[in-house]
Amino acid sequence: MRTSPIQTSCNDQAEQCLARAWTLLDRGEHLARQGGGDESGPGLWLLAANSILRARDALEAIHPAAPHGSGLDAPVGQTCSDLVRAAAQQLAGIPAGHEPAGLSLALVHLAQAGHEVEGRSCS
Amino acid sequence: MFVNAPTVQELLHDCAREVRSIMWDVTALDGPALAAAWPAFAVHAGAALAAVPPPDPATQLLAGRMQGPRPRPNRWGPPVDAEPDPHLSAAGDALAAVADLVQRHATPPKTAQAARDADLARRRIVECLFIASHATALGLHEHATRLRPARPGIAFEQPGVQLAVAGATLAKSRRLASELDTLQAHAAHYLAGAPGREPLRGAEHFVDPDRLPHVLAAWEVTALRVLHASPPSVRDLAGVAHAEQALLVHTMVILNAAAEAGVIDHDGFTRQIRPRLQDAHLAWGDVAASWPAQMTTPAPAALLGVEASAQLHQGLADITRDGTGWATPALIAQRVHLAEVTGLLRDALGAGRARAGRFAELPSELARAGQIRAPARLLAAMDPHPGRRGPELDSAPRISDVANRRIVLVRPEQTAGATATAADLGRQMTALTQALETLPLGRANLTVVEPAPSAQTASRGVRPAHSPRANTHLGRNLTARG
Repeated sequence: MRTSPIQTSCNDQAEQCLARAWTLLDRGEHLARQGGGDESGPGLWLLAANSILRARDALEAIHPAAPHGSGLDAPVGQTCSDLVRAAAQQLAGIPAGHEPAGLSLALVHLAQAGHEVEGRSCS
Repeated sequence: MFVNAPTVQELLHDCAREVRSIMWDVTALDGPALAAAWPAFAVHAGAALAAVPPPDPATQLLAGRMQGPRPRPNRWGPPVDAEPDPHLSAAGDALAAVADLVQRHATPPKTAQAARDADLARRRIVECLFIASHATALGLHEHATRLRPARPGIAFEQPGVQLAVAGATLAKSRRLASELDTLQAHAAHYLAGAPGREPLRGAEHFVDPDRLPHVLAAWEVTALRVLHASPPSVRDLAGVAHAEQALLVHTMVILNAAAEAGVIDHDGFTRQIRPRLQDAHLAWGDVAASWPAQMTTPAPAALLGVEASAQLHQGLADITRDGTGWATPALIAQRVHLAEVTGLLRDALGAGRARAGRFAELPSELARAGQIRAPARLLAAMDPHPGRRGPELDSAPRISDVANRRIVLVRPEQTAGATATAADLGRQMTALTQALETLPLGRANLTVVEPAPSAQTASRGVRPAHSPRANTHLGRNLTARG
C-alpha cells in the first residue's frame, strides 16, 4: 500500500516529537541524578531520576530511533520540572491518529515523573 | 469455620490492578474484546457504587449513568461478538463481589471515620471506572483507525479492506468510544468534584500485604531475563542497576523504621547496616554509570523491564512514601508488618548480590562477542591510559573523535573499568548481606508476648505466617511464608 505525502509528513512529525521528548527526558534524568545536594535528600532525587528514566526508556522502546533523531541540542538552563513538562508538550504534539502503540504506557510513566519532580528545583 | 475471604479493600485493590494492567499496551486488537467486556463491567461498577452508604446525589447520578446512555436493549453501544477481555472481566467480577459484600454488611456510617472510609471506597470504584473507560475507549479508537468505512455502491468483498474485526465495525467502535469518552469526563468531574471527597493522608492508606513479595519476585524474574539475554539492551542494564540502587534507598528507610520500632537492633543497624547500605548504594550508581546512554548493543530497550521497574518502585513507595516525601517511621510501622518486610528485603538484597556478580561478567562477555558499540570520543574520555593503543585499531581514539560522532566497537580491554566497578559492587553487596544475616533482632522481637498483627493481617483475619521470637537473628527462616 502506498502512503500519501500528508501521511508521511504526519509520521515524520510524530517521530520528531518522540525524539525531542526523548532528548528532553535524557537531559532531565541527568539533572535529577545530580540533584542529590538539595535538602530533600539524595534518595528522593534518585527516585525522581529513575521515574524520568522509565519514561525515556518507554519512549525508546516504542520508537527505537528516538535517541538519534531529534536534532535538538540538549537544552540548558531548565529545571527537571521544565524538561518533563516540555517532553509532555512534545508528545501532545503528535498528530491525532499517528500515536504509536504503547504511547499510553509512556504517558503513564511521564505523569509519574512529573509528579516526582513537581515543585523541586534542579538545574 | 475460618474463611479467608477478601475484604472490600483487597477487592478494590485487585480491581485497580486489573484495570491498570489493561493500560500496559492497548492496541487495535484489544478494542473488540474490551468492548465485549464493558457492559458487564459497567453494571457491576454501578452496583458497587450505588451500594456504598450513604447515597449522595452526585454518586447516584454517576451510578445511574453506568446503566448506559440509552434504554434497553442496547444500553452501551451495539453488541460486539468478541471474547470479553479477561482483565476487564476480572475487574468487573471484583466489583460485583464488592457490591455483594457492601449490600450484605454495610450500614450507614455513624462516625466521621466510617464516613471517610465510605467516601474512599466510592473514590476507588470511580477511579477504576475512569481507567477502564479510558482503556476501552482507547482500544476502540485504535481499532477504528484500522477499519475502512462502508461506502454506498462499493462492494464489501474488496480484497484488503476490513470492515469489522470480531464483530466490531467502524460505526460500532466509534459510537461506543464516544459514549465512553463522555462517561470518562463524568467520572473525572466526579473525582475532581466536592472538596469533601478529597482523600485523607495516612490512616486510610492501604498497603496490600501480598504486593511487596509479588513485585520483588517479578523483579527478580525480569532482572534475570535482562541480565541473561543475548545480548541484553544497554538501557535495560542501566535500568536494572538504577532500580537496585532504589531498592537500597527504600530498604534504608524501612530498616530505619524497623530499628526505631525495635524490630531489629538499633545500634546494629546504625553501626553495621546503614554504612554498608550507603556504600552499596553508591556502588550500584557507579555500575549504572558504566552503561551510559550513548552505548548500545543490538538489543533495543524493552517495555518489560521498564514496567517491572515501575512496579518495584511503586510497591516500595506504597510503604515508604507519604506524598512526595518520605513517610515517618511510625507511619511505616502502621502500614506493614516490619519483621516480615525486613526479611523480604534481606532476601531481595541477597539476590541483588548475585545480580551484581553478573554485572562483573557482562562487559567483557559482550565485548568479546563484539556486541557493544559506543562513540569513540566516549571511550577516549573513559580510557585511563590514553595514547597506549596503536592508531591501526579502528576503535583506538583519534584526535578528530573529540568533535565527530564516530561509533566503534568496544574491545574487551576497554571494559576493564566497568568490570572493576562491578567487582567492587559485588564486594559491597557481600559485606551488606553478611551484616544483615548476623544483625540481631530488636527488643520488640525478643519478648515472649506474641506480637500484635499488622492492620492488614488483622483485616484479613490471618496471623503472620512466622513467629519472630523463634529466632534471634534475621535468618532465612524468619520470613518463611506458610
